[in-house]
Amino acid sequence: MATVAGTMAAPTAEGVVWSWLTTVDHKRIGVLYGVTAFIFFLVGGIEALLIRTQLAVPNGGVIDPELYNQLFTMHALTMIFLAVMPLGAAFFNYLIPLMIGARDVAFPRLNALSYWIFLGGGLVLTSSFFLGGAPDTGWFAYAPISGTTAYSGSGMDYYVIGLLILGLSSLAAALNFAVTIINMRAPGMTMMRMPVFVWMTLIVAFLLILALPVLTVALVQLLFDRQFTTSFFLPGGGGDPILWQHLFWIFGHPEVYILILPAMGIVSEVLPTFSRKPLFGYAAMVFAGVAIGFLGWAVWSHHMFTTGLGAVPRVVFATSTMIIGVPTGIKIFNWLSTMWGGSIRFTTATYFSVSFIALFTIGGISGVMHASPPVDQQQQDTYFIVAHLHYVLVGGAIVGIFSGLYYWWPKMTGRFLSETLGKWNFWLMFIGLNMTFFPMHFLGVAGMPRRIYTYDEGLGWEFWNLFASIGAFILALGVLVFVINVARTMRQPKTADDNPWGGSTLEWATSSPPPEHDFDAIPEVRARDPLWHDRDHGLSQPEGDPDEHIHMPPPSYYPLILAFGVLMLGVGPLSHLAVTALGVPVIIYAIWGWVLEPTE
Amino acid sequence: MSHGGSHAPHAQEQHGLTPRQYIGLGIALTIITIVELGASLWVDLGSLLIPVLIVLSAVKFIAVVAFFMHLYYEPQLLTRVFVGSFVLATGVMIALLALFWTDITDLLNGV
Amino acid sequence: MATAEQHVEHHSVTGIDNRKLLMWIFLGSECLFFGALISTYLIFKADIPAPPLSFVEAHTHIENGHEIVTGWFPIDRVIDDVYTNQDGTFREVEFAGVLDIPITSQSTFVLLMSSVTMVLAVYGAQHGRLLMMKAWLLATVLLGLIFLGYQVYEFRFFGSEGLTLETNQFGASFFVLTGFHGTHVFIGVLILASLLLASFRRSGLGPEAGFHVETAGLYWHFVDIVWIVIFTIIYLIPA
Repeated sequence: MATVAGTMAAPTAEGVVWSWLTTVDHKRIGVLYGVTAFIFFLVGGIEALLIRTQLAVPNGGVIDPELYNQLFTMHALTMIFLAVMPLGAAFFNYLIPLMIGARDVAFPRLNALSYWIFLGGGLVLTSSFFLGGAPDTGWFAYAPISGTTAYSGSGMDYYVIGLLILGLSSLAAALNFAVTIINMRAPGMTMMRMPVFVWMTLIVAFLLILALPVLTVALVQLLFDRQFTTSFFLPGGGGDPILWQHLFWIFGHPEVYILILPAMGIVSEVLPTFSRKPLFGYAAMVFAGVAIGFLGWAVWSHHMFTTGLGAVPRVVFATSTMIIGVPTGIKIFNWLSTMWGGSIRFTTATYFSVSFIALFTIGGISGVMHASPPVDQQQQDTYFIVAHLHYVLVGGAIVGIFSGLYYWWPKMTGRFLSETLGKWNFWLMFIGLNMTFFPMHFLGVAGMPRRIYTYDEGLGWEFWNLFASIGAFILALGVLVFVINVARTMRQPKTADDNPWGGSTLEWATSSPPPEHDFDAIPEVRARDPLWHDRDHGLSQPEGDPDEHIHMPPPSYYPLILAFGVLMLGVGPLSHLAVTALGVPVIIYAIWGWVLEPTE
Repeated sequence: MSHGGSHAPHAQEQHGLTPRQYIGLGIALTIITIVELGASLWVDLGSLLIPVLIVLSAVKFIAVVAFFMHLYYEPQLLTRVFVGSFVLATGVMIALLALFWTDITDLLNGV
Repeated sequence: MATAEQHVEHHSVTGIDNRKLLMWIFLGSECLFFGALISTYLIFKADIPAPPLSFVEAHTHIENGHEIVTGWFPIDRVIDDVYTNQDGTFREVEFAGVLDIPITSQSTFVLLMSSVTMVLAVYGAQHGRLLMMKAWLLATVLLGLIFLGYQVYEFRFFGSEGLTLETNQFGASFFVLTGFHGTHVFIGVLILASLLLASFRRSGLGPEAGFHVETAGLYWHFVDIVWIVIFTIIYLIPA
């Protein structure tokens, strides 16, 4: 039996499609993550545009209420789990081994598995639109509405299964990156010499590893409530809907930092390069990131101030939430100090990074406002919250990611994105997102509830709603300019040299795009900002020996097969349990093959 | 972080206990379990019962992790990773339970 | 050598094998997983109303004008109480705990012993004593199966007494918590049985036999310590 499984020939890298399906190269997996997540980002954007169209004028009727509920739920799920998180993963995949001077991640096949499971989970979640309706309870799926099939349709089952599958993908990826960063660093790359982006990735990995199991437990209990008539969250049977909220936000608040820390890491790489100055306060930056990671566990109940927590918990969580503003503030001042006195080049990447600081600060300040329970009780579930979270996620995470795209594009493709189109892209997005999200502060204070389907005339909400909707289309136009920029750039010749921006980190020491084995010779790290140190001290990186045979892990079918088995396991409860039963032998076959496959 | 050289390679290294000691530890853990059963079922310890049970299971827990799982002989990093996660899990559990208790007491106090 | 999955020890910065590091971090993740399940159990344990509201299965009969209710109470304590009904008759309630501590103590002992056999298998693998490794691996697999047998018995017994997932919060949180633990044991049995089978190949477990058995052992011991916690919390700490 073992030999049968073991004799599946290793894929030969012939044929473009098969070479991508079986790849275990971290750079290719990064590209797969990036392209897939960007497509989901566009899907989530279209969902948002439909929502804004519906809300543009009072008593709008562009879409019906049921679809509207599905759209705002799926917009959040798509953007969080299928766009921002995997866009972060795309950067981790592409950059981490390069930045720490390794030739691949610790577990290349596990890395491929993470991507394929992610793709499966994303498809399950999105397909619900066409298979009886998407989840429609809001992305945090509050019980008891989510817990019974009487109140929420089959969409909730897709929610549960989709998030369980996506959680598995994230867990595998996070374990992989934690081990890679801890164990695979090049000689001399001590922890306190690692680029801040690598540090932020390590913190995100640990947040995922520790927070996802709590979500998994909550989802499984929800699944049992829906499918096996338990009552974990249903008060009718003795359950407690507040327990769902606690479990969800124990995961949900670390998740907020999972979304924003990669963008903070990107900005911490872009600003020093374009200020031609080392990052100000490196150690404080690292410490602040670690502190955010720890404190992120102690603030979850600030999402629940209106549930009657009691006086003591309110004081505790209000205090911890205010404290978490301190490390965040440290980061903001360090970015400003990095630019201070620097010789700044205003590229598109710089524009995005600088605006990140401003926009994230707005989102951060409106966030700390809610640390105060009385303020929070006023603004809970109003558009003020919608404004706050979008300043953090669009003004923060997405703007940071775009900065990273412009910065590392030449490294990833060998081609420069057009700076002219880039500036158009930036200004349209910047104006669009401020037009969309800033007036939501006013709407929230004026009492407009979030997730509302429509509103009457005369409530004073008409002007800013229309204004926000126009802004949303300008924002979308900005994204469209980016797509055009990419399409045009990819037809240009490769002109980027190894280190076009004069960056200081190791990924700039190899060619653009890097060879499959990343480095001809494993780099030596003698200081923080290694390339600047080498330049200033007249040192050079070791040359590769042209005769050396660098052995890279061969491509493999098994990640794809195993991911397919996992997908069958998940699809079973949504269709027919026979699919789950058939998935088990697929998984066993894939694991046997995986274990016995030679990796030499 | 030190380099590989300062830590002995794992596989054939003579670390950990001998088989005889492992069996002895197993017997000790069995005795602790019997004591736990006794404390729970046959002796009335009153309000001391729960602290006693927690301490005894903690001893078992630590013994298995330190010796059966060799954590005592491993580089400190692994201890930090595991103990850190365990402390976080315990902290979150205690906070969560405290929240549910506070919920009730505050209701009673009319806060 | 650039292959990441093999010969990792050659370029692991910390001197810890990648796979062992991954296993330990994963076990950290599992702490949160079981932490959330145990929290749920404890929260609902505080919520279970006092008898006679919470009985699992009750049989009522009239004796000398008294209503006698007998049945199972979720927690292992005998409850004996007399209530006065509105019409002046008495309602005598006799409940016994549904948890069978002597039986579960046996299964706890079995799992504890499986940790001893596991560590002996690791010792054998690391010292090149392959027969010792195989024998103790087999013993561990068998003890794991016996533990699962006890669990199946317990689940079936509860079911026959009317305690199921739906009965009450105790049933739901008990079955989900111990069910997930049992699933972990089952996966552990599969892993160890696979190693055992593979060790009979001509090439055995290869040059890294000690390492493979050791990493599987980490998982197995973790499942054991989770049971140490569960046994104390569910079975030993009274209502």
